[in-house]
Amino acid sequence: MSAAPALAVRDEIHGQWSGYWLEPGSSTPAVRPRYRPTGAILPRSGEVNANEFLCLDLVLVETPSSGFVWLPLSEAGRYTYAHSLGLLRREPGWRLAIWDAHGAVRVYEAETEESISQADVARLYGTEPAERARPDRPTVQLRLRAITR
Amino acid sequence: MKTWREAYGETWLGDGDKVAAIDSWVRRTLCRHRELDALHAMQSVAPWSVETLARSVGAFGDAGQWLWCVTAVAILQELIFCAQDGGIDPAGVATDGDLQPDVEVLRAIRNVVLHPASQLAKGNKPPPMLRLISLLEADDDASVTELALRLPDDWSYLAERPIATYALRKVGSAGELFLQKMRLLEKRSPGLSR
Repeated sequence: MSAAPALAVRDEIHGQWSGYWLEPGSSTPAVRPRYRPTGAILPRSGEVNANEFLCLDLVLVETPSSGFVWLPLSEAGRYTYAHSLGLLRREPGWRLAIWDAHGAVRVYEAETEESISQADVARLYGTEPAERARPDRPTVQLRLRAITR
Repeated sequence: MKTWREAYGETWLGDGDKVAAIDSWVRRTLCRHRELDALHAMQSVAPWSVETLARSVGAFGDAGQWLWCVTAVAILQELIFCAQDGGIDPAGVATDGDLQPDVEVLRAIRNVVLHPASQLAKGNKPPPMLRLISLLEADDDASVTELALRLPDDWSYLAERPIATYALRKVGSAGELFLQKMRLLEKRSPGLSR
């Protein structure tokens, strides 16, 4: 009898939007960078407004068993990423650029919103992000607004 | 892009009270290992101190000496996060869920800059540089991830500013969490504070 296979964990969360964080003052690249996305967000379940919405801030974290996976950022992790540190300090001009499959880019300005509990992550965003959120720390939310560039 | 001094000044390393709080805790902890009294904690108790290294990180960065800057961060993190057990491995709150990811990154940096001849895989562990590259690739700062693409071709690219900025951010994050979790700013001994 063989051992039961380990449960595979996808690196992405279903429904996440992956993109590239742009620091204040930097310009949007003309084409999508060739390296792995530097940022991702997850809109609330059933969100229909693509121009302004609340979302989870996802960060790429190394796990002991599953390699690098995207996890909802908790308040404990806000100092460790360039964008979350900037947003924590209320620096204006942090943007997330997201390219679609046709090469068109959409740029969103970001700001920090009220953090929520793991139970609220489950209620507002679904069970998969809730299972990846920390139970002992509030989960960070962002507000994204689409801008021209 | 922020100047080095701006980025440095936004971390605990640029805050005299926070540096003094961590410095004092490390001194007292090292003294306890050697059963020295508190008076010794006000004097030199080890070759390096947190205050000296924090200043060095700022000064090397101001001078654009990025590899020395990263080296100072590597020594600083070991002094702080390994002090509790008096060894070379992180101990105490440095191993909990909040600090562990940052401390792990800082150890990966240390392994590269302080063990420069270690370039071979050991068992199933990749060479320290390849491990660090995988961590750099996962960062959210474009200058860091772009450098991670060039590093496999020439490991000497580590001596560039994005790595120093990355190391500063990680030690900044770990230090802030350390201050909070150890409540160092609340319980500083008046006799040891400035």
